[in-house]
Amino acid sequence: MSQYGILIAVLIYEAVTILGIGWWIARRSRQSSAEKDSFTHGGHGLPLPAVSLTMALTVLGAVHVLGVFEMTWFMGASVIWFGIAHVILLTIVCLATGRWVRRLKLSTVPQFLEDAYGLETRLLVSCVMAGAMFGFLTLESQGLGILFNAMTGWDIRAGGVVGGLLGVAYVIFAGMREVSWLNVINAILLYIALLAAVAYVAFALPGDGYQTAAQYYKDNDLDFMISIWGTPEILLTFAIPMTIAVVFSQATNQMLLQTAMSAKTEKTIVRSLWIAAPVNGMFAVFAAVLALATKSWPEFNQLNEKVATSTMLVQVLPPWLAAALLASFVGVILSSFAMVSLAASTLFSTDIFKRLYKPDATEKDVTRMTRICIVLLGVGATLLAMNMPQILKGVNWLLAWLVPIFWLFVFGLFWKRNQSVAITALLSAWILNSLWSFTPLPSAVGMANVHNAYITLFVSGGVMIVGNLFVDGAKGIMKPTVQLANK
Amino acid sequence: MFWSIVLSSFVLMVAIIAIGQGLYEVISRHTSASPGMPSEDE
Repeated sequence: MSQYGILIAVLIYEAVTILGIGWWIARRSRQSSAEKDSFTHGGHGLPLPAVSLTMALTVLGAVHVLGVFEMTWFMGASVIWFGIAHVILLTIVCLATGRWVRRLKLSTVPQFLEDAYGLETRLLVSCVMAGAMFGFLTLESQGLGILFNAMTGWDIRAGGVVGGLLGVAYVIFAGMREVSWLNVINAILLYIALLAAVAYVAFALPGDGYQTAAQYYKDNDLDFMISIWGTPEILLTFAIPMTIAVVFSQATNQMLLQTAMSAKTEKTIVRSLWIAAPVNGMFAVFAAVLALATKSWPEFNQLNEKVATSTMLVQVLPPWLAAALLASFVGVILSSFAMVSLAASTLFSTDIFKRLYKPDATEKDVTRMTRICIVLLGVGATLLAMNMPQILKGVNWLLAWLVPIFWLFVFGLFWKRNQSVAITALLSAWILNSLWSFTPLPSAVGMANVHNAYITLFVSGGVMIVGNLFVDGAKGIMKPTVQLANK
Repeated sequence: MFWSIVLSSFVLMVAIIAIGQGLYEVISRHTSASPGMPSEDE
């Protein structure tokens, strides 16, 4: 099977699963289409496998698939902290933020912000969150093009366009139910293909397999690359900032919480933790092992770090396994693309269209508007992706926009609520985030290496804490009363 | 050697989840709902 043979097999797999599942679920959900939030939240009745695997795959996208291979080349097994950061994120979502949004029966995160602070906060966050998600969509679309190119040699832009079309189809037929059941299939394929690839590479590696690969790192004084603890410098400059950025920006993000809002019960979300976190976290582990093996392999050692591991996989694995692995990688990126476009469209149809312009909109009207937004966002993101924005810089900037919402969410639930304080915190963080990315401000203040997420985290947190201490406000919505220990 | 990377990562991830679950149990045992707090559904 040539590289184009692999490409055709992958496209056939994606088309058959997406159209087949989409048609089947759309047919089954026709009776329940009038049910509240049927398209956007699966009628708030998703079971455990759908919730857990959708959570796992929503935050497993292009940056995981492409970034882990590349970063392993320089920092070795410490890159696994990217996966560990997501395990911490999913732990917080399944045990805290996800449970809270389900308990409050919310449809969007900004809906809570209106209840807690006021309409202006809701609209402000809704627009910014949808905008940030459109940015993520652009990067996912570009990631699909790069992945197709790395593994089959196909033109990046053509791959991005076909990826964008598949991404829209992944969600357009039956919304949340379609995305979640496709995710179950893709997660199963991902782990079968990934484990088979890791095992196959063990036999294909020169010498004693992974033993010889490990010896390469010892002989070259690169022992730190085969330990997840790496060096203190890597832990300080990569592991900790990465964990903070991922946790604070995603724990209250609509794209992850929409799945929690769609769960059958709160208990479903809590139980999902033991599936979602390992499924997401272990991906980075196996990807790092494959990249470490590639770097130790003389035949591939001289290749560019961006394509080395994918080239090794295509050249070493039997064609059927390479095709299965590529199909699963494309599947997980598509799942993120679909979930991001569904979440951004839900924000528009619920927070803008229904809330501001058509309060009496029926479920059918909201579904139609959500579908229109999915198509527009998908097309727009795919077109923008052709300009090839830088993925890592883009992700840093976009994540930082979402960080202040975490403070508003937690303080509004458990401490104090004042709309003026909330809006001041949001605006100061967002303005500084843009200055940090587009002006020489970071160098001017001698903080050129400080991640945007740190800036928005501390500025918004500081404004919220000081503001809440000195300005009156209403009590937090879920402010708990602490029981005495001996009670 | 490579299997130790897989194993140590897995153990670390399970430990994080278990610590989170433990904290959740402890916190929910020592807090009770305020009048405005909705109850957990089943």
